[in-house]
Amino acid sequence: MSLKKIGKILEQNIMTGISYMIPIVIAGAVLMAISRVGASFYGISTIWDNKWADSANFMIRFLHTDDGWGSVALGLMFPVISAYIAYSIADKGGIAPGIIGGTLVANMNAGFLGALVSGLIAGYSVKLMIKYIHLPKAAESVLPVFIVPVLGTFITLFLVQYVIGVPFADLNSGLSAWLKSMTGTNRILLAAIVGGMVGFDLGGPVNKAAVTTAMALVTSGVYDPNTAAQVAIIIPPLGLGLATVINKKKFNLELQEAGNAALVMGLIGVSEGAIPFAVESPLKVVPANVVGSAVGSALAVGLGAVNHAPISGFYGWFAVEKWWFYILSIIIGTLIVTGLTLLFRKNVIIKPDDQVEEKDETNGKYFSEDEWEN
Amino acid sequence: MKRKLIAVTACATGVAHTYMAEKALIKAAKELGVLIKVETQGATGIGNRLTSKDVSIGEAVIFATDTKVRDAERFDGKKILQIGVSEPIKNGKGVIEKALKVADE
Repeated sequence: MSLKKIGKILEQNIMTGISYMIPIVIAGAVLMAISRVGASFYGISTIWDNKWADSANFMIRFLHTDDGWGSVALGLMFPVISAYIAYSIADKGGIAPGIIGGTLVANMNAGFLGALVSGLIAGYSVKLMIKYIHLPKAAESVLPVFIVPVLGTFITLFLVQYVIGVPFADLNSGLSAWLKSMTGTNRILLAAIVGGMVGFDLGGPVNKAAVTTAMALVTSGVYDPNTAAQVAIIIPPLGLGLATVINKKKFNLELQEAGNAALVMGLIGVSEGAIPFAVESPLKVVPANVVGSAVGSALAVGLGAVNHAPISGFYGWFAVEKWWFYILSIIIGTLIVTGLTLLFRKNVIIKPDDQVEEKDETNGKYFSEDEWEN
Repeated sequence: MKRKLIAVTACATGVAHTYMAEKALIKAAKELGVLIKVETQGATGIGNRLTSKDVSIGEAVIFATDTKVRDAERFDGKKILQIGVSEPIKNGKGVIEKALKVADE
């Protein structure tokens, strides 16, 4: 098997894990953000502190409890990603060793990378067991009900505990300490780099690498990369959508349509809305996106906005610390993308027959069941 | 008789790419005169689930997925073209042509 193919398979396994982890992170981070923003109205910046559990004010007691709920949810992040990476590799048998290994990773503070490796270990140890252990017919069911869960879990826990746990924990704490110690221009530069990466390929590998790392760092209490990433996610679709509204002449009908969709997708935080534009003329669109996203991200972090949650859509804006600066940065980044796009593009000639085609395509059904079956 | 393909699309978040790839595959197939049924495995569940009859009719399966295909055992024994979810969005016709080639092998 070629190296490229192995990379593809690994990517698919990890993406599966991430796709099951995202809802948990969103739930946990938003619960926490609500509690922290709510607490700030009472002038409290340490709502997680146990002393608030006995507060005379019911709202404060509740916000403290709500922060705890957020922690419960985020605590499941590593077990779940580890479990579903293993599931992606070895199906149902991978889940038990994966979830248990991921919990040990969380306990050892071995971080996001630790959880990835734990999932891979669990998945492949189970897969190999199923492939190579052959029992007599009568005892066949011993493999899935006993050997796979016990041995798979033992192998995973053993490797996490004695091989990967400590080095990954060191790596994790070193990385977050380094990021937390960043100040001034370095912080802003980091934000610009994260923003540029996110704007570069709109949901592709570079974007996912940046967003996932940022998301993982949120769990270590490092928020700058997340703030930068969340700003950068929505700038390209908003900027390109706005460009189609401002000057229709520079876009064909298909892109005008895509522009409206991009505006909506931008507002709800889906970077992919900008893809039709990037596909059509990458050399004009990608630089505009990278510059706009990088500037927006650098501004947001530089002005002190902090987004605690991995949410880029408008419904998350008001849970951001200093949300007015945050929104201002989004607006500036968006205008940069719009301006550069309009500058780079020439007017297009619209053919009249373009119009007809668009209509029946959205429905999807262009043949009858009869035609399919015969 | 027209050529027939089936496909499954899925991406990590399951809200955008999955459906863009679906549209792109349908559009390209239509332009090439190929019949296609596309199952979307998105965040809100499986859309247009392929029946066992669909699976037996399709000459080849396109997996345009960044994540694991759910209930993949349904396609055991079929000819499979595994690609990333963004490939049909970039080059829909190329993907359909490649799948037809896989079906002919």
